Amino acid sequence: MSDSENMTYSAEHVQQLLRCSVCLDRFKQPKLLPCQHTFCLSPCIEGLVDRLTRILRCPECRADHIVPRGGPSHFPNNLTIISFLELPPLNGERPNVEAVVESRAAAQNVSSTRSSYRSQAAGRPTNRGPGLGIGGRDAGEGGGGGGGCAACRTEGRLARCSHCDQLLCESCKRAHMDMVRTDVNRLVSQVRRVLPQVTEQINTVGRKGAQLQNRCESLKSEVAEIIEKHIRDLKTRERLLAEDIDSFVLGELRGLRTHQENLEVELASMASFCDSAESTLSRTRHLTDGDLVELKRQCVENMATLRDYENGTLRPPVPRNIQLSAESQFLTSTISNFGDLIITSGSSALQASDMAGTRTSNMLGVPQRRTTMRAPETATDYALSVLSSRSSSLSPGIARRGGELQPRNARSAQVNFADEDLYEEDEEDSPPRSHPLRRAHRQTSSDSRIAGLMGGGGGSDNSNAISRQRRQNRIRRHRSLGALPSSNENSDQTESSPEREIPDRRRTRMFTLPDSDEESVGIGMAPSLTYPPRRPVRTPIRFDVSLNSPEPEEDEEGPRRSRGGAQVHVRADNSPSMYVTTPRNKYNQKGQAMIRFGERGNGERQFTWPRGVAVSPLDDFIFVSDSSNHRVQVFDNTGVYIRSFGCYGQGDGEFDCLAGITVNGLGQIIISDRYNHRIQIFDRGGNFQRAFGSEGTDDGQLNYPWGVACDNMGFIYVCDKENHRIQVFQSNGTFVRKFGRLGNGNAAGHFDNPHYVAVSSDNKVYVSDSSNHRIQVFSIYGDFLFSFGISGTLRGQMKFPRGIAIDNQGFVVVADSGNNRVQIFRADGRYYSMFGAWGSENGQFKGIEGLAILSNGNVVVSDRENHRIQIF
Amino acid sequence: MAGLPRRIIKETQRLQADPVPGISAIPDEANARHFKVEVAGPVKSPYEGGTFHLELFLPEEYPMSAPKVRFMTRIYHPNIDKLGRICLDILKDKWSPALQIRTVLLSIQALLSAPNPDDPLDTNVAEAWKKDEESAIEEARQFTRQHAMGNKPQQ
Repeated sequence: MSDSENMTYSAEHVQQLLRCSVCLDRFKQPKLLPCQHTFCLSPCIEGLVDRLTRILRCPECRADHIVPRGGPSHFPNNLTIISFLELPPLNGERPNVEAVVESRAAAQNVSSTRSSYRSQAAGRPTNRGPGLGIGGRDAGEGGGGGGGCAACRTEGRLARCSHCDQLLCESCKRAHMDMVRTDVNRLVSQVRRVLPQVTEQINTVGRKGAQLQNRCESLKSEVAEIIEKHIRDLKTRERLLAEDIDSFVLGELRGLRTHQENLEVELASMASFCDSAESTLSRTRHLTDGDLVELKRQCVENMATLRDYENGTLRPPVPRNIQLSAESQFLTSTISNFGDLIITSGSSALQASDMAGTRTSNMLGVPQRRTTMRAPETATDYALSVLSSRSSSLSPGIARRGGELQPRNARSAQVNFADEDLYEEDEEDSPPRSHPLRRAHRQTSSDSRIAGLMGGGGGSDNSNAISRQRRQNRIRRHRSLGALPSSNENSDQTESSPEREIPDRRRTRMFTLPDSDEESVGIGMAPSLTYPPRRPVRTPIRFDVSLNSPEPEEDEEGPRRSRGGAQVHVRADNSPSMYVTTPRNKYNQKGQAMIRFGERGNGERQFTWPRGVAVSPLDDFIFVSDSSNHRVQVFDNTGVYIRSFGCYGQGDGEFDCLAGITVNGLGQIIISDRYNHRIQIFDRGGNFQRAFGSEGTDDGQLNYPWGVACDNMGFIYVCDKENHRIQVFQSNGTFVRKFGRLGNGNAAGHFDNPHYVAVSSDNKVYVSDSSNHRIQVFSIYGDFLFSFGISGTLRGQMKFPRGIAIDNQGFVVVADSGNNRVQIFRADGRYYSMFGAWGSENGQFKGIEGLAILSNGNVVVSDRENHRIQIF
Repeated sequence: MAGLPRRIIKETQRLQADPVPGISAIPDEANARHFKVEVAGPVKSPYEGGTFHLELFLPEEYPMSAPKVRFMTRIYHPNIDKLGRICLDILKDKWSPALQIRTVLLSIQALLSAPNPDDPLDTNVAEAWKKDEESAIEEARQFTRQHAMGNKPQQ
């Protein structure tokens, strides 16, 4: 190494330490692995990643690390190394460029010549090494141009060197020029050696171009596909609407025809009565008084009937009106803005935040509407963007006028209204007290009214019609309640009316068009969709009237009610579950188990109170913790028995009523051994690896641990049930942190018997806070984010929630054990759908416990009291 | 040879500038990924005094996959078979990109010093080694004299 002469010993060492042990070069983008070893990002670390398992083995210590979700670039930078790399290079060397040239030169052992040559060319007076023919001497010559030859001091014929502008004698000049020639030769060969790299660059650019072209082609077909899909959707909608109109018309016509027939019958009977009465009068002279009186009475009766017609008391049924409320303006604007192309530069896409990172993979489609949603400035904005994001599948609904409520429907509407009545009275009772929550509520309603106006902006006559109809509905309901004073038609009430009315109207729709797809509900429901993103909403007074109609439909209203009370801090989040209208996993088509297996017993495929279930990400096997048989049974994803392991005991690999189970990215099985107060870890084959934890309340000690989960870095989250906290461990069992403490009610971070835990792919920890009947959500550092769910049986409410599973779109599947059903929420806690009921038939549960999601999206449910597993 | 990785260039330079005692590795003129290697038999081993020729090839994926090394000189060793194939974990599953040509050759030299008959490649040799180590060592010495002394590099 040439420069090692110039370098001090320590500087040389620093240079060595700045060398990546894989590429043997100076570090470029040094990344620090969890084992504290550092390598260049590209190509060293990138080349090391096993694409299949996403595991990286450290070249130094062979420790396996799971690659972060965003790719190897998400490993932390080694800042120390970076600051070393940024040190000003020694001797004015430019490290990276020079290093290349330098190593080549070193191979030829000529570098000292070259480096001094270079400084000479730069015209700087430096100490020249003796290797250069002229260098040393010309330094001695100093100012140059004085006495004679700059090299040999001979006075003679001097010529000026055109290269270094010095006076030299003939012979020295010749030698000097030879030197220059060899140098040029060397330089040429060096240049030639670099040429392949340029060729490579050319090839790379060519390849990149081809790739880009391919990508654009596929993008185009993607666009075509999406548009095609929406066209199909619209066509479907058109057909549905046409069918609806047809059936409506048929029904109405039938009614009219019946009425017409009745009238004809009436007419005929009247006419015959007249005829018979006349003939009786003319034929018979001697009518008995009684007959006459009877005839008179009949006449009067008929007269009264006819007068009814005359007065309009007995009006013919007015044909119900039908019109189309199509917010086509919105649809049009959505269509014209549909599909932004997001162009990111390659590197920024890699380093961008998670948000952008996840989006780059899906650069086109509905999700980019989120751009407008990400930071809602005002509630109005928010509502608007919700609309536009939904309107991709939005189709106009038929607003039915004067819709008659079905009995059941009427009841639900009453109940719903009743609690709002209480609302009103509550306010009337204490008018002077300005209730902060009430204000919040009013804020909400005015916001949503604005949203409603925005939504109704499609046609003013429509919205007028809607409000007219709403008023009618309301009055009808007031009557049916018989409790509402007419003075309630005050301004205050009208102010809050949009918010309140719309759910009602929706419900009307829901029942009059039971088969209509809920996704296609028109703009009218938009206000019910809106909720102020960062404002606590008051819990409405609730009636536990079961509205649990079994049809799984998206109830946008549910979450707003259910999240009441709890403080809601919905983070702008990019989990697809927040905006996709239909999850990839068709939860609303679930309800009948595809696969059921197991019965009580201790043989193969028999269980005694199965609790936790887990799915291995590697081979999609189902692991069931067969609690009271003290063993784990393994099945493939169709329920075929593979093996089992474990037995009763306190030793390694033995269990005492195991509960939670999970499988990490390496295929290791992590099991909470409940009555032994410890966690056990097994390898893929079910061989014991280690155990940690003991009974107690200190850090790292456990008290009836229940659910376990792993995040994508391999940390283990344990529901320390009787200590009412979550503990986090490293994969080797080292205690990392704990969070939460005992508390009843709805304070943030207070637990009462937390049962199960799950970590979403965007690193949020969902805990089923069972005895508080809610799900709490934390960051992986234990910071409380938000919670959802309250005790109850309505949609979005829960009783003793247990198992949690999160799919790859972020939908949260919750085992609502008290209600014996599975509920599905969006990542921010909004209700999406549910299925299941109490019983032992297909799709029914008794004591639902663990949940897991297979790679194909099917939900594995552990049905404890039925001693079986069901797959939906 | 277009696009010879910088790492290979650097390793080659270092091997020549700063050779490991008892080991020489010279790249083939036609193929810079192909090395002719000479390893001197370690002292106090039955291979002492012998010069063993090996060939080493750096595959396309190097350094992400291990170099391929083979003994060209016949050697009597439980972990090296008749064809010269070497049973050495770092050449198989324990390869790490942080290893280099020099470390591989050093490991091979160490393997000559410490044969491991419990993890054999050539079972006959390994059995002989386990049954009667002394005569096995003598056999190895005999082999070394016969094949590894005064020999020319084979092609």
